[in-house]
Formats: sequence, structure tokens, C-alpha cells
Amino acid sequence: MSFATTTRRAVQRGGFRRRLLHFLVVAGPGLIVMVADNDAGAVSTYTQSGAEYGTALLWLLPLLLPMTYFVQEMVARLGIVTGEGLAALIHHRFGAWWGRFTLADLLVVNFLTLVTEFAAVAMAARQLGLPQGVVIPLSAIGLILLVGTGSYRRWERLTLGLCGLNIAWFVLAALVHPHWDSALADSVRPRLPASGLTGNLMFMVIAIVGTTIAPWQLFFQQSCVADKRLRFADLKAARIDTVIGAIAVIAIAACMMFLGDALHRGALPYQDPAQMAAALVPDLGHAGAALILLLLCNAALLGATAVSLSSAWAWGEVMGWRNTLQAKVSEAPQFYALYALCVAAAAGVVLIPHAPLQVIVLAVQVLSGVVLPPVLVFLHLLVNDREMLGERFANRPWNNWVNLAVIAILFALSAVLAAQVLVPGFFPSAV
Amino acid sequence: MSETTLRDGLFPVIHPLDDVREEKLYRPELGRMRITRGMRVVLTLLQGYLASMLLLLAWRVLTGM
Repeated sequence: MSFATTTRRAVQRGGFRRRLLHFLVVAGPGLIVMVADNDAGAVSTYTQSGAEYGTALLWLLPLLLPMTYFVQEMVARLGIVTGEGLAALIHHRFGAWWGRFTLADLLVVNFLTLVTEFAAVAMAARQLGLPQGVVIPLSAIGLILLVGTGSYRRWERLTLGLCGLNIAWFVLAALVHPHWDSALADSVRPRLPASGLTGNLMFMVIAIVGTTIAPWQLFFQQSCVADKRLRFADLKAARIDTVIGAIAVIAIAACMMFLGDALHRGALPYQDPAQMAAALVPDLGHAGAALILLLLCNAALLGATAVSLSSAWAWGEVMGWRNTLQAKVSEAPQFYALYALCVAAAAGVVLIPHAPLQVIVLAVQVLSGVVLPPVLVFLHLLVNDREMLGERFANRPWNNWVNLAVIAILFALSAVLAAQVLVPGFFPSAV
Repeated sequence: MSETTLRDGLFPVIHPLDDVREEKLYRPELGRMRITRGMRVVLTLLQGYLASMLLLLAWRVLTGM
């Protein structure tokens, strides 16, 4: 069943079949942005959480589901009713200074995120015994070919195919036999791990929340919706697409926690997802361990294409370039060149011997903390812009209260995370 | 509404990329948003936040990350 129908189709009578077909035609951006959110950094965060605290932090995930949905729904709605990307709207409605500042921040943090995605591919390649000097360039070429087909629908179909591979996380989670009773209890009853409230725990909670809502996601979904030219009548289906994506991202995150939890139950040490895969060979076999590494690569590549596209779309919107996946490379040369440059440069950094990858990981955390709050504030102001949206599509008061609460939480956590990384001694118990 | 039209008992479901372009709510003539006092306070706070974070970053880089 294809989510992206390529031709005009008609269904007799209305009802369920028509609504289903309509949904399948509209779905894509919400699912892709959410599944791509479980990128290499997320795999690392969720598995580490499971390895260090078991399923004790599982309750965070159901709380994050509505949070991520509400934020992404706002950008989907803005994209549909304005036909513009978020970078374009910030630039047009708040002026060139804010527009360029936000864009510059986004490009820097996106590039550094991209480096971490390729670092994960290199890590998985090493563990699989493959030469990273071959795997990294091939991955970069594949990512460039993925978008350069001149067809939005082809890109969407291929990317949804990569998203579909994430079903394997459920199989792997089932194979490590989680303790379902305690997992279910932990998912609905907040509790502290046995180690109590420590700096490490605080850092982990912030990392889990931070990995669920990243700046690139907001820009990506709005630009994607605008590029797909979703219509006013598609808003309901786009919301369902986003809800399904949010449920998928949280369910897959839980599966990753279960894999880490298998180490926790066996009192095995955790270093990174590649080492975790090796440690789980007794439970999963060599095929299962290899599957974890392949899924890590898939997560990194999905994240890489989404992050690079959000940069290229945003830059094109502000610069006034043609920036659509519907265009051939010759018709939108700057758009594709920027995408390819981001991918190639990030791959090149990872291939540099002794590249300071740990510093880059820290920089991503800090800059995300700097970039996310302003973007959320602009988003909030834009969805309340009644001059542009009118009463029908602007936020309702209840919607604003929910969104303000989400923004306040994210603002506080982003600030704490950035301060924690920048000034480690600021929080005495922090690592 | 361009997506669904009742015609000869059929409800056509048209892919957005195959459909006629809709007129959207954003128009370039809107120009810049009218900034209220509350919004100005928010934007000033935002500038303060950004300035303090960048100062922290600069301090951290200068003292060795």
C-alpha cells in the first residue's frame, strides 16, 4: 500500500474508503518527521536510558507524545494555510534580522547534527567490519541521490520505505523479553530510579526530552507540507498523519529502551549502541546484533536526509531560491547544491582522523538549547497572527495554554541543558 | 474546496501535487507583523536570553571547553 498515490484516483461514494484514500494521499510529512526524529542521537539516548535505569524512565514517553504532537501540529497547520515554510514566515513577518539569525543558527546546529549522524554510521560500519572509508562516501552519495530524483513523490515513497524498516525495532524488543508487567507500570506511574535524583538522571531526562523536539523538525515539517502543497481540506488528515507519527516515534523509543533494559537486567556495561549490539549477541544472536547496527545506520540516514532537507528548504525560502523536490536538479541548482554540500561536508568531517566528535556532540546540545526557544516563541506568535491566519486557523485560547506550557517546559529544559554543558560546575550534582 | 467535489456520484481523491494550486492566507503585502507591547517584551526577553547564552558560550570557549 503506497502512502503517496501518483495518479488521480476516484472512489465511488463517500465514507470510509474515500477518507482512507484521502488520508493515504496526504500522509507522509508527519510520519517522516517523527520517525526521522528517532535518529542516531535518539537511538543512543534511549538505549542508554534503558541500560542505566531500566524501564524506570518509561513514563516520560507518554508525556512526550502530546507535547511533540502539539508542537508539530502547529507547523503543519501553518504550512497548510500559508503555503510557506517556517523560515520564510519568520523572515517575512519579523524582519530580516530575526530571519537571518534564526536561519544561521539552524544551519550551524543542523550541520553539527549531521556530523553526529555520519559518526553513527561510521560506528556501525566499524562494528560490522566494513571499511568506513567506503561506507561513509556511499552513504553520502545515496543521500544525495535520494532527493535528486526531481519528484517529491518518489522521495516520499523511498523515505517512507526507510521509515517502515523501523518495525524491526519491535521484533528486537520482543526478542529480549522485557518484563511487561513492570514496563506497563513504569509507563503510567512516574518514579525515580533506585539511584535517586542524581545529576546523571537529570541529564538523561533532559536528553530524552531534547531529542524528542529538535529545531530542525519544526522547519522540516512545515516546509515539507508546503512543498507537497497540502490544501486546507487536508488539514484533518495531516493532523492524523502527525498523531500516527507521534505514536510511532514514542513506541519505537520504548523498544529502544527495552533493548537497553536487557543490558540493565544482565548488569552489563553500556558504552554506545554498537557495543550494546555486541553485548546482546547471547539474546539476539549475531543476526539480531547486526540488525541493531543496520537499524542504527537507517536511523542516522533518515535523520541525515531530514536534517539536510530542512536546511536546504529554509535557506531557499529566505534567499528566494526555487526550493522544491518537484524540481529537477537543473531547475533548482542552489537548493540541491546546498543539500549536497551539507551532506558531503558532514561526511568529510567524520572521515578526518581524530575529528573532535565528542566536542561536536556537546555543541549540538548547546546550540539546540540556544536555537529551540526562539523558534518556539516565533512559532507561537505566528500561530496567533490573526491578521494572517484569521480566526479560523489561529490558535484557540486552550490551544495557547497547552502550547505555552510546552514552550515553558522546553525553554527551561533547553536553558538548563545548555548551562549544564557550558558550565558543568553550575549544577553541583551534574556530570 | 478543491479536494473533494461531488460529481456523477463520485468523490475524486486528488493528490495535492496534481490539484489546482490554492490561494493561501499568506500574502507578501502583509509585510511585517504589527508588534504589540507584549510581543516587544517577549522579543526583548528573547534577545536577553540569546545574548546571555552566547556570552556563556564565548566564556566557555575562551576558558577551554
